[in-house]
Amino acid sequence: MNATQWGGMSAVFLASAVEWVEAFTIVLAVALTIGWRRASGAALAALAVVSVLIAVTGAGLAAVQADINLIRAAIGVFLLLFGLRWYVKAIRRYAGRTALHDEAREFSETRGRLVHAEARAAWLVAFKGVLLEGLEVWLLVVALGHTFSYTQASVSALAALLTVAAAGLMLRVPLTRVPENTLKFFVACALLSFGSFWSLGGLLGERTVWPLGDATLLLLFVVYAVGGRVMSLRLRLPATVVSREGSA
Amino acid sequence: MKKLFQLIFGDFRNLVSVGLGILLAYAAGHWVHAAAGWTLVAVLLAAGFWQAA
Repeated sequence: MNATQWGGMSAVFLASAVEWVEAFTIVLAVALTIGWRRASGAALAALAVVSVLIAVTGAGLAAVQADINLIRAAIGVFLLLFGLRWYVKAIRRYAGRTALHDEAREFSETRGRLVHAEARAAWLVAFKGVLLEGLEVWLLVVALGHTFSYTQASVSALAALLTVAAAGLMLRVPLTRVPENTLKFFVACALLSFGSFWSLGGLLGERTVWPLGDATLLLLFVVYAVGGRVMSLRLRLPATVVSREGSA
Repeated sequence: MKKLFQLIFGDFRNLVSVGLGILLAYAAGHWVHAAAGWTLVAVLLAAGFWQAA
């Protein structure tokens, strides 16, 4: 495998892992209310829907004999839209302008909502949670998989799912120890790097815009990562403002 | 549907940021080819700061 394939697979793996952590937290909360068997059934049903979507979309796109540069540009723009959102959210959390995503709070809130709910409703909570997070993974697999390989992108997403599930089952506690914001920040930097590389490379020619070739990806990643950290420091609110906003 | 749209494209500021970045980079690329990429990076960093502030 070449550098692009390794880079693409790593990006899919990391981005998918973020989504699977969120999905697993919801399933875990539901499992403690209606049992592992039914909660796992809901999760598997949602994953089956996502798998069908991946299979159909992958085959559909592979059959289209379209201009690869046009497709690369379109995928690049999509990654920029997706990556910039995560980038801004992560910077705001680092700067204290948005509360850090708290998996433990999400877990307790989800469980609290389920105390008086019917088992069917609980099943739907797990199903919808996994479906929504799986949908985000599907978008990543479609976007990145076209550039190197759908099979490799799907394997990366599946490996991330198995890794998160195995880690979660071993720990048997909500995955609060995973530094979600840090993970999301670096994933956003990777998405922006690939998005920048492919969008303009597709529109104007890869070698014309990026003379360094694939090595540019690493450079772009560093620029976005350093830039984001500097921004979060510049935007950091004074402690008095944070405490006043927190008590409001 | 609205949720799906937001999931893919984000809010209006996100669309404007990326759209403006691509347009400016495309324009810069017609003057100096090598400037296109870093124009996009500069616009996206500025957009990130603008949206996060």
